[in-house]
Amino acid sequence: MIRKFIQQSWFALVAMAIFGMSLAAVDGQLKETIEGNALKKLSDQMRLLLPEAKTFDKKSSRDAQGVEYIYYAGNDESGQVVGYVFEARGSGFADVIVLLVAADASMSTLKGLAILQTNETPGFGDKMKDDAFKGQFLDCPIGEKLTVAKTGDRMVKDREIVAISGATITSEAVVKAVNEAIERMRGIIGK
Amino acid sequence: MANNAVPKKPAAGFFIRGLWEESPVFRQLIGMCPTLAVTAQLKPAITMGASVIFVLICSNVVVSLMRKLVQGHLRLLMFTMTIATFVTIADYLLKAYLPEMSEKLGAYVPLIIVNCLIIGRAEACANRQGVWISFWDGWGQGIGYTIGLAAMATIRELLADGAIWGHPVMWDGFVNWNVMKLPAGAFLTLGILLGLSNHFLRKK
Repeated sequence: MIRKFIQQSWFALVAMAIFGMSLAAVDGQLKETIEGNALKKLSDQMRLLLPEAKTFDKKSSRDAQGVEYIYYAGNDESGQVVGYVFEARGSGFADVIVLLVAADASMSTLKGLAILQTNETPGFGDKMKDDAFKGQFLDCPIGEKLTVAKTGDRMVKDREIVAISGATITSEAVVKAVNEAIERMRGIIGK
Repeated sequence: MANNAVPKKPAAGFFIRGLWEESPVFRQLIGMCPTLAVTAQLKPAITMGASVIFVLICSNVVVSLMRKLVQGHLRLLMFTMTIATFVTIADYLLKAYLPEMSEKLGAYVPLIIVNCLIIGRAEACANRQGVWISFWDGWGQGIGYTIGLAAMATIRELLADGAIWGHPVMWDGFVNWNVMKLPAGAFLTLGILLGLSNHFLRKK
């Protein structure tokens, strides 16, 4: 019985071991580069959002349910906090949307939005990457919740975000994710 | 499969056949998932083609090397394992050195594992032929596949963005055909290309 099993499968077992080891070797070689790429992308985006910050401190906080939430505090040369960068995520039309939101130190004005991950429909929801939509979040006051409007002037900096035409679901998803992230961030900073 | 075998240089025959006569996209119609999904622009299409060439050559060579040791009823397991190993390596390489492309291709790189072109070549060629022939068969089929992807992507990018390889080439005032970026555009392009190639190159 065992003899038959070995006869049938020895080659598959040996090959599996060899393939497994070669994958482990590749992983060991490339892991650092891959992690470095992700970090570099994150820090490049943060620098664009908060140009006045010189260094970023990674901080984390747990909410009542024990879910860890990571955010970054941007400091200038003297070590003063000039703003916060935090992640916002929500489900869009096609896939999860992951954003990076920047706000000033008092959490009263947004400093902009960067998109980390999106897979929305090309030509429609995909336009959230354009400055015409994304730019509305720059310098926009966040004393109250942001809302979505169908029409309006995108140049006016208010809490009304003008939706992308043909992509209402994406626009609403972005605004909802940003609102939730701001709310959570307020809770953390207020502590 | 080799009806018109070229006995003197069989490897060259396998290579040439993959390029057009048995072109994966236009003749065998296999590997359609990336053909439809990643051909909205030329850059991701070529990256995908290069990944497929890498995986195809490596898996063909390894399958050919172990063809005498693999038992018949275990062969699909062994093929899939070999392919999965090389696809994972390709995925890691893309993530490390072309992170932007890796992000754009997303799930389609790991999906090369189930690309029937690769398992098809393992079954049809590498499992029966020597290493040398399998190696050149991998090149031929891989390049043939990349040509197919590139043809689709050139047409779609030109009409959808008015650009090729990210460089705008159309005249001012050209209105982008947004539909060509969407799945519908992929089906339209593929259908038209298949129709044209059948019309002009049908064997009499």
